[in-house]
Amino acid sequence: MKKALLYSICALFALPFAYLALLSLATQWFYPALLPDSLTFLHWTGLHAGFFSALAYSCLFALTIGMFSTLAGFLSAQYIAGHPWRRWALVLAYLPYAFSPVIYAHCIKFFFLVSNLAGQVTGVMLAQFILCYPFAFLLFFRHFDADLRAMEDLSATLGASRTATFFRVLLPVSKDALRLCFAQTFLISWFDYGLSSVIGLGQVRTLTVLTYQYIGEANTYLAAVTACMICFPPLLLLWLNQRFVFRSETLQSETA
Amino acid sequence: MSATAQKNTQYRRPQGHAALVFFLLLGVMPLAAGLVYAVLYSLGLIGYLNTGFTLQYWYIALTSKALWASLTLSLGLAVLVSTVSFFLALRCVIALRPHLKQRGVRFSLHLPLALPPLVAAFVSFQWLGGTGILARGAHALGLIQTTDSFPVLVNDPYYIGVFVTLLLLNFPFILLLVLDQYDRAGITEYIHLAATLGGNSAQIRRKVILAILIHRVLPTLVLYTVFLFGAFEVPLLLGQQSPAMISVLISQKFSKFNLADVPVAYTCAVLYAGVILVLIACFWRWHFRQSPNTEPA
Repeated sequence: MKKALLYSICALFALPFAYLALLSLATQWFYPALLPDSLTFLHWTGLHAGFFSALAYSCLFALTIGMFSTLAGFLSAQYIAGHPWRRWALVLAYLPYAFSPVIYAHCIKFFFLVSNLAGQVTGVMLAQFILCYPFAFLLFFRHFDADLRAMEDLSATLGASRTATFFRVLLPVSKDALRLCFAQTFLISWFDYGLSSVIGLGQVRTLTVLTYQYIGEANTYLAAVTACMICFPPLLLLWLNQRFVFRSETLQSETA
Repeated sequence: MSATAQKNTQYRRPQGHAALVFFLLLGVMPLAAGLVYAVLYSLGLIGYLNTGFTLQYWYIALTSKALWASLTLSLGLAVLVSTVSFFLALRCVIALRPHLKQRGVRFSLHLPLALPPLVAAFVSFQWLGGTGILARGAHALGLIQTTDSFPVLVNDPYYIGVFVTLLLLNFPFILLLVLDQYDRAGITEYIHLAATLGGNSAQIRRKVILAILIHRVLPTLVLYTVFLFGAFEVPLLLGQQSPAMISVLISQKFSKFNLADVPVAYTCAVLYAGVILVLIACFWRWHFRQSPNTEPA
């Protein structure tokens, strides 16, 4: 009974992905058919240039934002974690993180309009960065605890230069946190719809914006194709993470 | 301390200030500037239709039934989803804890991480709609003859579709959180101790497991509630036009062609920000009372 419940829960979480894949391959799937009439790759092979530009924008934004937010968050947290105003910085970092991205976007849209950044690739990128950066800061703030700062001090006491401490102590110790932060900020940017649609003014179409457009047009098959594309990188990241985390956990427990 | 060590540890101060300025400029300033702009717009001091200081937009917003209905709906739904997620997760952890640690099961629990809210809403729309998969299943089983006989679960007045989707999106996170905290708190030992002291299973569940876990999980649960309060994509696709959840309502007001609605939209945004600030302030106050020397995760 317990196992049946457990497998039902697991199946429930896996079902949306299977459904999206099936819908993207369906030729016709009308009510009341439980399964599609036949399967085809036509929706995948007949994709137009708009899809590829949306894919390129999403990749560009997610990779750039993931990289820069992680870097900025890491460096800021490293120095602010020891600052006397650290607690205030932490309180303030929670605000943009807790704010609804779409309302945030509407509030700052004016500044993007007057600086000619609205409807531009750089504008959407900047908007996503100012959303992801406080999140990266929050992730690293906890990471730079008293132990890590003491380690940094120890390295300095032993005569290591700033550069040596950074590259030979901080970076190796923070490898997992950096990987986690990159993955999280990558996903925030990759999944973003509210900021991209408001600041992009419909001119910068990411995969999420395109998916919403297809849903609005009742083009369910193409919406399923773009939805599959949105889900693919996170699924890959998840699989890689599970594979390596599980392996390292197993190794640790075996060593212990 | 040697001269080199002193030099190396002292470099933090100016760079700490620079980092703080950078953080304030790019992390906090945009939101602060946006909110100041929204306040000024809501008071009629700037904007296309500004005629000088006025409180009329605040009056319109504060006397608007739609806004209060929207705030109540958003807060109620957010609290309900968080609470139901927590108690479901607790139940699952108590009943299925050894199985939840299996590799395949853990992977499945992480799967909703890969599902953005927009796609989740799309899938729910396809499943719960009048011609959706559930309706087809009901038709195949002979439970319904036409699509009209199937209950309305999408864009419905009770927000069932939104509730189910948000619950399915959030439940796995809460489950993983509860599972993690269960292990970290060493609850198994407490259970043995309580059983040795004569506590029955209901007492152990209520006075040991629930009491410890709720204390440890509450800060994260409050933050989740704040995120759910501002949920946008799911209610946009599955909710109603009126009453709409707060993010959808504000977005609707901004997107309308009626320019007179824009100052009211900014007023609503300021009110939303006020609610968020109060919730975050309560969260911090509570946290620092509980553990004054630590920062929350």
